[in-house]
Amino acid sequence: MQRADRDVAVPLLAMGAPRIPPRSLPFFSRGRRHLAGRQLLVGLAGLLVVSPALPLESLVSAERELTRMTAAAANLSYRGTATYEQAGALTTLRVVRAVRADRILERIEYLDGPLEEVIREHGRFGCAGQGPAADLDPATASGRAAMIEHYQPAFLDEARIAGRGVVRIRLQPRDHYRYGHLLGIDRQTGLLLQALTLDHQGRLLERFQFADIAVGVQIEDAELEPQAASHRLLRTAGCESGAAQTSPPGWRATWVPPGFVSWSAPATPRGTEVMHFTDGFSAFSVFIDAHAAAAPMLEARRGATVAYVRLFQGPTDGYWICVVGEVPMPTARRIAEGIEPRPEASSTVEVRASGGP
Amino acid sequence: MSEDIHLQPQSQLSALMDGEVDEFELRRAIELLGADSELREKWRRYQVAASALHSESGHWQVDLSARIAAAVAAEPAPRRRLLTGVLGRAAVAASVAALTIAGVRYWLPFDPAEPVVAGSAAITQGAVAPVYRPMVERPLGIQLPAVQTVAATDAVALPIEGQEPVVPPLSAAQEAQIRRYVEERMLRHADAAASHEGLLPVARLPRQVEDR
Repeated sequence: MQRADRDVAVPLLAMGAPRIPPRSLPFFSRGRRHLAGRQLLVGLAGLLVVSPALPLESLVSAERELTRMTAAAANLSYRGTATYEQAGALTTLRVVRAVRADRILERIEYLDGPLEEVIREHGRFGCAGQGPAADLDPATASGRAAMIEHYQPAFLDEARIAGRGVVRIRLQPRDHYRYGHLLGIDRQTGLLLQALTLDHQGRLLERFQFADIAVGVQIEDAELEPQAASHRLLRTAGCESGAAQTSPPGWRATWVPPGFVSWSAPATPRGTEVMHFTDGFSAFSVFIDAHAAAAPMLEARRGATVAYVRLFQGPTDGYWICVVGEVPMPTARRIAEGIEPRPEASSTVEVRASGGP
Repeated sequence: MSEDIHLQPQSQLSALMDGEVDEFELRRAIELLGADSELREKWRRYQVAASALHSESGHWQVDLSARIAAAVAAEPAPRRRLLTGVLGRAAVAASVAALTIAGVRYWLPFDPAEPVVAGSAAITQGAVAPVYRPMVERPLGIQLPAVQTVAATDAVALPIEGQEPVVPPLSAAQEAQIRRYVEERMLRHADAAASHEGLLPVARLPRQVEDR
């Protein structure tokens, strides 16, 4: 199904994954191109085919708002304060984002708890050295279609967040493998000001929203300098190497929910094999550790994040298989049950995963 | 209350349970407990009862921050973190939000011919490769019954029929290890996600705790 491609980005919600393989999903990519009218029409046509039950107006509105978010992601500098709630705990963050000529700089400071901050830097036009051409990779064109396949967008209501009018869009998952989302998009600028994650019963799992924001402001370089001794410096993981590794050499996932694609982490510590997957909105990771002791099988949860651990018993050794992510527990469990050694690589598994947690 | 504390040991115990003792009374209660094994047993039962009461709420949440921080601080080497920065020395801690661990199932060596014996959970890799089956599901720690149950279709998680589940207690060290493991994996997941755009993954990052 041909739709407007990769023009929707959710700068606040999505992870943005430059390393996502060619079948990249738009909600993970940096939105930097505007949606042409023709593309929009094509996109809507596709949407209508997929969701005949929704009122046209709702769809158009949702689509329009999601599209507006794209431009906001690429072009807006802002400074604001946001809150994040999960599992009964509240975190407050100060966010400064500056769009420069060739890159986007962010400083995110936690205003409560230990003095910490995250400094991030993203290339504005995709991977460094590749320029906008990287964006035009035709292989990414299916991203949008993939997203619509798994979430049904609909206009919910108009509300007020951070003192600003927002349009709220609901993204209802089309299956039970993933959570739903509710997005509050600034009427004026298209910025995402609120993001809620909901389970299938409509229970709120986590809530991110701005309390206050100044959009389109001039950000001085000094504001982007790290101020805390303890800061995480995060750079958009690169394009420095080639295609994403689809899975560690020794193991494979025999089942992931439809629409989830793998992307590789910046680095993998020795002793653990890791796989990361995303559908553009939600992500999960799989960790495989060689472990001498038998593991209790366990399920853990914090807010929208779950962990499911099981034991994989090989002929001579055991492994802990841990699936962590923002997916429902049954999904995590099913993924975990489907993790197995690659048949052809079984002889090397022991060597590759030789550490413990 | 302080009136109760002078009546008899049981009353003191009650007051202690309710946290209604001052420092002096606390010391006295501890002395009594130390001297009287019967009283100690009673104290233990009170604790169990309190735990049962607590679990009636149907869920269990525990703030792991202090324990995790301590456990991590005690680790010999800092874990290698995914991202650059001052990460290595940072502790993994659930200082932000409670981590709920539910539905722990112990894996015991399974031999249908033999009853499973408590203590056999000391699973080691013997000459005969054991087959592990989940025996029972039980939450981590002493306080609660399982919260999560497993669908019948999940064959792997089905308990073994006809056998009374025997649940060996987790040692404090095992418990700490499991919690640390889960915490660490959640952190690494969030770390990887936060290396890209989007604020939610950053917001989800478990907070660091300064290591001094």
